[in-house]
This record gives sequence, structure tokens and C-alpha cells, in this order.
Amino acid sequence: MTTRKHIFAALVFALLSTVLIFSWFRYGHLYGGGDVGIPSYDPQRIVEIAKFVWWDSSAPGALVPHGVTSLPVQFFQSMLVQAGLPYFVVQATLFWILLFLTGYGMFLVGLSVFGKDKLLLAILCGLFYVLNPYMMIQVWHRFIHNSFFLAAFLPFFYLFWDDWIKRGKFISILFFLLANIFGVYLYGTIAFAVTIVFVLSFIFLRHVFIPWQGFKFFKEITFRFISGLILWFLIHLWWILPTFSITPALFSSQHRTFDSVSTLITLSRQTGIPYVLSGVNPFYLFEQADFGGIYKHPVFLAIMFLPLVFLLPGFIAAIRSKKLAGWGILLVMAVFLAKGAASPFGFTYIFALTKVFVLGVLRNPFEKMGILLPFSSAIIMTAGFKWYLDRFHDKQVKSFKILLGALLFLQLGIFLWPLWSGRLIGKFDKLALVEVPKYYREADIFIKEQKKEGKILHLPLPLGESASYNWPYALSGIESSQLLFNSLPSISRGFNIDHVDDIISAASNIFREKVADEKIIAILQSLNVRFIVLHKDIRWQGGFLDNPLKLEEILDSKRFLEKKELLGSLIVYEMSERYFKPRIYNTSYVNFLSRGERNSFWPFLLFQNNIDLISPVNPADWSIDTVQTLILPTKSWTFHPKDIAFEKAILELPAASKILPGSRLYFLIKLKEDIRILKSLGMDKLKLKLDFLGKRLVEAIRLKEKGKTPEASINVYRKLLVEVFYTDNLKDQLDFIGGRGFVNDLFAKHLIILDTLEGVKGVKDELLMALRKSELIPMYDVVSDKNTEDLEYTTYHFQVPSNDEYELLMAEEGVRNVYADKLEKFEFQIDGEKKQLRGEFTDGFISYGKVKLDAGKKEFTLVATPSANLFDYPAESGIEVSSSDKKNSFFEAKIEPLTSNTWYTIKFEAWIKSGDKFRLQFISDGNVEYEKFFTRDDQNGWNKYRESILFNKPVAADAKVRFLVDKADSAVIFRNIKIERLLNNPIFLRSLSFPQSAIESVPGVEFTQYSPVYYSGKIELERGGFVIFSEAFHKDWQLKLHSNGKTLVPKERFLANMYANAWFVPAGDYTFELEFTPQKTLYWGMLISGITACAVVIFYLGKIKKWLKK
Amino acid sequence: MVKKITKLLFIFTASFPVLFFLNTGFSTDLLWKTFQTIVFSVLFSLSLVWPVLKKYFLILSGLLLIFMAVFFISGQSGWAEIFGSSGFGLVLLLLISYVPQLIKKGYIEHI
Repeated sequence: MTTRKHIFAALVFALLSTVLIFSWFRYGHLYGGGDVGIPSYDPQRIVEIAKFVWWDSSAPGALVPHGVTSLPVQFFQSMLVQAGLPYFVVQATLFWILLFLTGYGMFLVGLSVFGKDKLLLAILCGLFYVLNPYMMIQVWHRFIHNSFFLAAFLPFFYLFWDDWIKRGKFISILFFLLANIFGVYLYGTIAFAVTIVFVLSFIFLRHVFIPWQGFKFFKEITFRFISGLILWFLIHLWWILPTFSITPALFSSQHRTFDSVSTLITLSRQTGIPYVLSGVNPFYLFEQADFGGIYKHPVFLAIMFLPLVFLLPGFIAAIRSKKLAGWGILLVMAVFLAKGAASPFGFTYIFALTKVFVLGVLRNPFEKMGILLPFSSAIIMTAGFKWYLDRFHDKQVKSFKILLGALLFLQLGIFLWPLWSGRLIGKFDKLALVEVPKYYREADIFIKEQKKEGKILHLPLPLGESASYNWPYALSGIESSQLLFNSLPSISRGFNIDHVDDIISAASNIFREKVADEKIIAILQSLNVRFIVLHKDIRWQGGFLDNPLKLEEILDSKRFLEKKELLGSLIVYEMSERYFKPRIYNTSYVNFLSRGERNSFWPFLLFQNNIDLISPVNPADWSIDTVQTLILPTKSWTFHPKDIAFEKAILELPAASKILPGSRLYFLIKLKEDIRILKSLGMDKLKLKLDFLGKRLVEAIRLKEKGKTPEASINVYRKLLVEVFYTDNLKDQLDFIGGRGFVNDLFAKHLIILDTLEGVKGVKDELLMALRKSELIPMYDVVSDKNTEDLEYTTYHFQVPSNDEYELLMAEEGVRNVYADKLEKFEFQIDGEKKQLRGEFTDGFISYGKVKLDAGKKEFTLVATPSANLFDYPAESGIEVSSSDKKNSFFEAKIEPLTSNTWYTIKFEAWIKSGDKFRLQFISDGNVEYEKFFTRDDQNGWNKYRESILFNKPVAADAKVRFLVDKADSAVIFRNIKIERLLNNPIFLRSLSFPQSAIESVPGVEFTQYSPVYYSGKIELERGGFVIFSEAFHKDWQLKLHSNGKTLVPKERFLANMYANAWFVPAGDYTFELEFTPQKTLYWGMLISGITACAVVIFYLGKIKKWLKK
Repeated sequence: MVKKITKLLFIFTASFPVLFFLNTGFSTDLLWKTFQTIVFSVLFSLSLVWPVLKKYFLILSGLLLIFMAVFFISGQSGWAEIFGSSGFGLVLLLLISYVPQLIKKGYIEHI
């Protein structure tokens, strides 16, 4: 192969990349949004952020260890920016290079496979790899940048690794490692490391077994494989070390095996063989129709399967050829891996995922392993093309060539029209173009010029990770304020981490008219907020964000905020100096807070200025003086005691078979059940066990009816009960098996049946004990004079630290007016004992006075009292709603008071006079949140209805219930309408009786921030106190105190203000260092990787020297 | 012949539970999957006992994949899935049956 031919091929792929890039970037804007945000916007800023494993720019701080893999590419992009190129040209340049590498790399693979003289076949190979539906949809349209790099570098990895394994040439492993360094960004999606290791192992195994060449050869290439893999591992150690030393805990909490399997099964519905063989993701192509409806047209569907014309003969030709057999096998494996749990043999994947936790990273196999489809099919299709050429070479050459050309034109041209026409990224009619308005940079410069420490709070503040803007070319996807503002860290989104989201939720919700200034100040202080940036250009509609105009009114009215600058659609406010709290400060003035499971209302506890809330990571260790003790419920739940008839209970449990215990054939029933349990997985197994528990009870009843003893069934029931509650931990799986209500109803039936069985003493008690221990029913029976059938109860469990008197408080006092006696008299059941307590409105709460409690677990139960009717209308008066045949008709009832996480009950009577149905809707801010149809039953006349609706939108201006009659000449009369709010306000305990020796804190901390992971300074404390660091809590933040040549590292960790870090420091003068220790693993990794790289190069140079000497 | 039929029955008995587990996890919820497993086991056993049939099974798998395309284009995606997965499953099993030849020669000499 001459150099000229290589240049020709390079020019072909350069031309192809140039045409595509000009088509994509002809609008002159960046592409962005979705999962990646705007990675080509200000790459210098990204380099600054990504070189640390802790990102303080995403305030209040986030752990992103694998972000370091983006460093080389961002460094390259930042060089282009420094050269004066606009951001969109930088992005276009990067995409051009990647496209070129994708095609040219595959061309080189093609040459190695088909022979160095097969220029056109190799070029075709490259074209098939660049131009196919998988590349169009799953790589470029999906817009995951790691995938771009995987697609571009995979051919090079293959080429060099194959040569290393085959020939053992050191230059090949050197190039392989070099390609890995350049393409390291692909490992930003950790699952792609599995894809790469799979390819490397496949190449090795192919050379070992296809064909087997004896043990000597096996030993030789095994050595190359292992040594190559070790070098690959060492060269990547700089990002592997921090990622895997910190991330496993993150993985286990965020992605449980059950979730992974559920995701796999759901996604595998989209990866049936028809889609995988065509490389098409039906979600984007058909369901979302991102490229328009044309792809559903039969002609396009036919083109979708055209690759089979080349694939089928190509596959046969491949497996019959020594050179290509491996590629045929790789294609089959690629299809098998990419289809996930889809048929055939889909259970293999599910089984593997449940047994090997790490495989959870492949729960979206089409995305993670799918690149192997175009990679292997590019070779097989070229083989198919060659097969046609060989077969028809001499016959009807012209018409045959035209036919082949037409097929390629349809497949690579017409079908991929969005790729050619630049309608690829985003939707075909609404591209994901982004142009950040200039006023963002102006606002950032303004804040930078203030030269002040602190953080920026962006409002409205999304609780999730995404936001959308109203810019002409708007960003819609991951919230990117951390890139748009490099002056100070940005608090601008949620993180899907419980304790951080609590404070984000608090900051998002505090700007309400009714919230006292001191509470707002306390939260802003605890978040180290210096500036507030109000985004009037955000898309806030939908009920999850505040209206920016309303926010502006509220912010304008705050005395502690100064409106500094109006820049475009942004308003910058600054916190007054006297209210600002630095990122690191000391305090000896704290409230002990025993955290609960529900912390979303916690900001209301921060009602005292300059008092921090401290929660020990291990509450048992607490021995520090505090001003107050605040105890939140460790668990709370609402339940509805049900009185079920025995006959109904029996009917609703699984029926028993005719073969009962005692029968010789009963072992078959057990065998069948055991097999069912054995083959079921995860939650299905638990559900089956619950079914079998019910079945045992029904069997016991049947035995009793036949005059036999039910002991055999009951003994099995007993064993299974222990398994379900204590081995399988039923209480932790409630959400996956139907919820608390379902489980309570189920065991209510069990209890009724157990009551009727004689001679099974103790079983009912065992069940009750298990239910209580699992916190499914209260520890103490509900004592009530009223008819419990209609009432629901809420039970709260508290962990009380010491024998004392505690004040009982209830939050959300604003709703008290709609309850009897304004909640001033309320009955609580405390550890089974009823107490009528008087409530007083104090500090924004209803205080029910002091109760004496012993240390330990305490239970409070109260009736989830229905409010007065929120619908103000004479009950008996009917409201007739009639619709014509052209128009709907309805009437509405407003919901007031409206609170989040609240159950509303709607009871009414209705008579469908004409027509056959009506609708009930729950509407909030104009959006229908809940809807139910009611149809006419056989009985005419009045019918009673009851609906319970949980309203859980965090932000809503108004809500109403709508009774709607559809257009069809219908008429419905409604009467006795009752809309009630069920009382489930949070309650908590407060104690003032701990020693109040605390005093006003004297500021004693001076510090300098050297990087996001390292601070140092001085601490001077006259008395022992807490040092609070307002960054998100992480166990690896380490405080080192130096005094008189000694170093003290406080081991005990505390959570400050529910999300931040705190340490208790004894009195004294110290210099201190505060460090995020996992950053060191990055440096160690870099050192080892660097040494490896140097060693490989030196070794290679040594070889060259030897060769020169020779 | 008796020997071959015995071998066939033995391979079928051994392969069916394995394939049934891998295909469905012993679930009989979807009847077509159970039937598909039976077909897979029968064809796999036949291809091992009478290797000459492999060629025809390979043609059959190609035909099934073509049916897949036809049914998909005509809007019958359910049938397309059944034909496609059966065709691909067959290819997979045939490839497994060719493993000894692949190890020995490095390619499939006689299909």
C-alpha cells in the first residue's frame, strides 16, 4: 500500500467529516443540553473544575471522581479557545476530529482484515462504521460525549491490541497505550471500560482458540494478554484509583440490584432482535419520533432492514474464512450482548445481573455494549459487499453496480438524512442549539468584581438536576450555572443525594410571604450564600418552580438583601455583610437535632438566628452541651385499621389446592412451590412467599373444616413468617411489593383467620410482634371510642435520648383554622395512653405543652383528623351540570388551605340523569394532576363516591377539584360534596432542659481556600465548640489541628445544619488544615501512571538502541 | 439408527432444561417462548446428531430473519420479534455446534 493511497483514504474521511460538520454547524451555534449540558462552553472553566474529585463549583459540593477523565479533551478545547476560536468552532473542531478518527480508524482495521491492497473495501468499511443508524441515533443524536470517544477510539484499540497479541510487537502496545491516553474521556462512562475489556479479552480468546495452535503459542499470548492488561490498568490508574476508592458506596446506594434488573427489563423491551440487527433505538426513532414520523413509513422501514442484504451473505462468508471467522462470532456476540434481556435467551442477562452486582453498570446494554454492533457489522457488511462483487463480477456488471450503488445510497444516504442535513442533535424540527445570552457573562463579571467570598444561590431553584430557559437558542437539560458563573460556586440544582437535597429543597421553598426573615437568613447563612441571582428567563411553569416575578417581589422586600444589578433577565442581589456567614466558622451555640426519615420540613426548625443544628453521625456518642434538643420522628406512617369479615378474608387469600397437608401427595404441592420460589428473583420471590403464607392459612381452615388438626400448615406458616419478616426484611421492601397499605390489608386478613383457629396459640402473637417490629402497625393498639372504620391514624416513632420533659410541637400551623377547635385541643395516644393536650400557637408551631418521657423508643399516635368541609356550599343543594353535544360543562371547588404531601378526601353523591359518565379532576396551577372517570352502574339514582388524593407538588399557587361532564348531552347532579384535608402535619419534640451553658459564639476562624479540596488557617477558641464547614457532608473531609508541635485529628463526625460538615474542637489556639483526602488517590494514581508511561517509553527506546547497535 | 435416536433423545433431554432456563428462567407465562425453546432444543439436538442438517437450519435461520423484516414492515412487530429472535437464536445454537470445527480449523469448512 503506497503512502499516496493512505493519503487518498485520509482525504475521503476528511472530506466526509468536513461535509457533515459544515452541515451540523452551519447555524453558528453550540450544541448542548440533555445529560451533558454544554461541555464545550468555557472548557478552561471545566478544566479548573474537573481536575479535582470534589466539585465545589456545584455547590454545596459534589463528589465527581471520574470527571477527571475529561481533562485531556477539555485541555485541548481550552487551547483552541485561547487561540481565539469561538466556542461553536471549538466544538465543531472536536467533532470533526472524532468523526475523522472514527472513519479512518475503521479504514485501518479494514486494511488489516481484508489486506493492504484492498483500498476500496477498507474505505467502505470505514463508511459503514461512520454511516449507520446506530451511529446516527445512539451516538450522535444521544449526544453522550463519552460515546463519541468510544466510537472514535475503538478501531485504534482493536488494531494495536490485535497486533500486540498476534505479533507481540512492543510498538503496538505503545500505540495502544497512547490511544488510551488520548481517548481516556470514553471512560467517563465507567461501563465503557467493561466494553473495552470485553473487546480485549475477545481478541485474546480468538487468537487462543480460533484455531487452537498449541500450548506454546497459548503461553506466549497469555503472557502478552496479561502484561498488556496490566499496562492498560496502570496507565489508567490515575482515574481508576479515585473513582473506585470512593464510588462503590455511591453505586450501592444509587443503583440497587433490583433497580438494575428493572431498568434492564424495561429497556430490553426496546431492544428486540429487529431493532438490534438494524442498530435502531425505537424510543428515539419511533416513540419520540425525534426525526419525524417519516421513519414509520413502510419505505423507510424497508430501508431499515437493507443492511441484512449485506449482513447475511457477509456472515456466511465470514465464518467460512480463516481471516474473518472471528468477526462473524463477534457480530453474534454483539447482538446477544446489546439486546439485553430481550428474546432469545434473555434470562441469561437477568440471571447474571442478579448474581454479579458489578454488572449493574450494563443495565442499559444497547447503549453500553451496542457500539460493537456497527463495529463488527462494518466488517461483515463489507464482506457481504465483497461476496456480491466476487459472485457477479463478470455478469451484467453495469446493472449490478447500479443496483449496489442504489442500495448503498438508500442505506447510507436517504435513511440517514438527519445526519447529512444537520437535523441530528435535538429534534429534527427543534435542534439542541445553545447560545448563552451575553448578560450571563456580564453578571458573572459583576460578581467577580465584588471580590467577595461565598456562594451564589440561583433562583428559582430546581430540586432535580435539569432546567430549561427561554433563550432564543435555549439550554434544556442539566442545569449548568456552575459553568456560566465561574466567579463563585453556584447553588443551582438538586443532586439526588438525600441530605444535600434536603437543604436544596429548603432553599427552594423558603422564599414565601409567610416565612419569617430570620428563618430565611438562617438557611442562607448555613449555605454560605453571598449573592442571589434571580433568573427571570427560566421556564418555571409546571408546578415545580416558583414564579420569578413573585420571587422578585419577595426578594425586593427583604431588608437583608440589596438589589445590586439588573442585567438582561438576571437580577443580582447581595446579602448584607452583617448577615453573611463564611464557609468555615466556629460556634458553641448549637441545637442538638436527632434526624428523622422526613426532613423536608426541617427548615422550619431553624427559627433562631445564629444557632446551628448539629446531628451526630452516631447519636449514642452525644455528650455535648446544647441549647435545645430537637427530635424528629425516626418513622411515621398513616394506617387505616380495617375490620374485615372472615369470609371475605378467606376469599381474598390464595386458594388452597385439594391436596392438603397430611396427604401422601402433598409433597408435590411443596415441590411445585419450592421450584417457583427457586426460579423467581428479587421481589417476585418475596411476593410468592407472601402468597404462600396466605395459602397455608387457607389450608389450615380447610383442615379444620375436615375435623383435622391444622398444626402442620401452621408450623410451615410460622417458619415462612420468620423468613419473610426477618430474613427477607419485608419492611425494607414495601415500595416494591405494593406498598404499606397492601401489606397491612394482607396481614389484617391473616389476623382475622388466626383468630378463628384453635390450638395455634402464639402464632397470632408472633405475627403481631413481627408487624410491630417492622413498624407496620403501632406498638400499642389504638384505643378509640369512635367507629374506627372511617378513621385513619398516623403513628410517629421517636428515639428519646434521656429521661426528661419534652415539649410536643406540630408544624404547619397555618392550617389550624379548618380543624375543630383550631387544633387547640387535641388527643394524642402516647405509648398506648390517651392524652388530651391543649395547643398554643408559638413561634410558628402549635405547642402541646410538655410531656414526661423516658429514654428509648416512644410512640405517638393520633387520628388523621378530617378538616371541616373545604367546599363552602349548602350540602343538600344539588348542583346540576349539563353538557351539550358540542361542549363540556363543569363546576369547580377551590382547595384552601393547600399544603404539599397532604391527603385530600373528596366525598360526594352523584346522579347521572342522562349520558353515562362524568369525570373528577384535581387541577393545580392549570395542570390536571389527577383524573378519574365514573360511569353509570346498573342502579339509577344517587350513588355515593369517595376519592383520596395525595397532593405532593412542592410548589403550587392554587388547586381545585373539578366535576366535569363530557360533551354528549349528559346531565349529572352532585350533592353532599365534602372536601376534607387529612391532618398529617409533622410533629416533633423539643427539650430545653439540657444545660444551657452555651454562650454567644466569638468568631475564631480565619482561613484561606487554596483549592476546592484544601483549606488552611487558624482557629482560636476560648472554649470548646464546633467548627462548621458549609460544604456537603462527606466522611472523607479531614480536619487536622496543629498546636505546639502536636497534631490532632478529630475522629468523631457531625452533620451540621442537616447537610454540612462539623467537628468538635477543644479550647485552644490552632493552625488547621482541612482536606478532602481522596484527592490524594488521584495524585498517587497519576504518579503510578506516569512512571508506567515513562518505563514503557524507556524500554522501547532501549530496544531501538539495541536495534541500532545491531 | 437406534443409537442415533438415543443420542438425539439424550441431547434433547440435557439441552432442553438449560435452554429453557436461559430463554425464560423456567417461566411458562409466554407460550411462544416455551414453544421456541422446544424448537431450539429439537433443532440443536438434530444438528448435533445429523450435522448434515446444519446447512438447512442455517438457511432456515436466514429465512426467519427475512420473515422478521417482512412482518416488521407490514406493521406486525410482535411476529417480527418472534421470527427475529427465533432466527437469531438458531444462528447462535448453530455457531455453538460449530465450535469444535472453529477450534480445529479456525473457520467453518463445511456448512
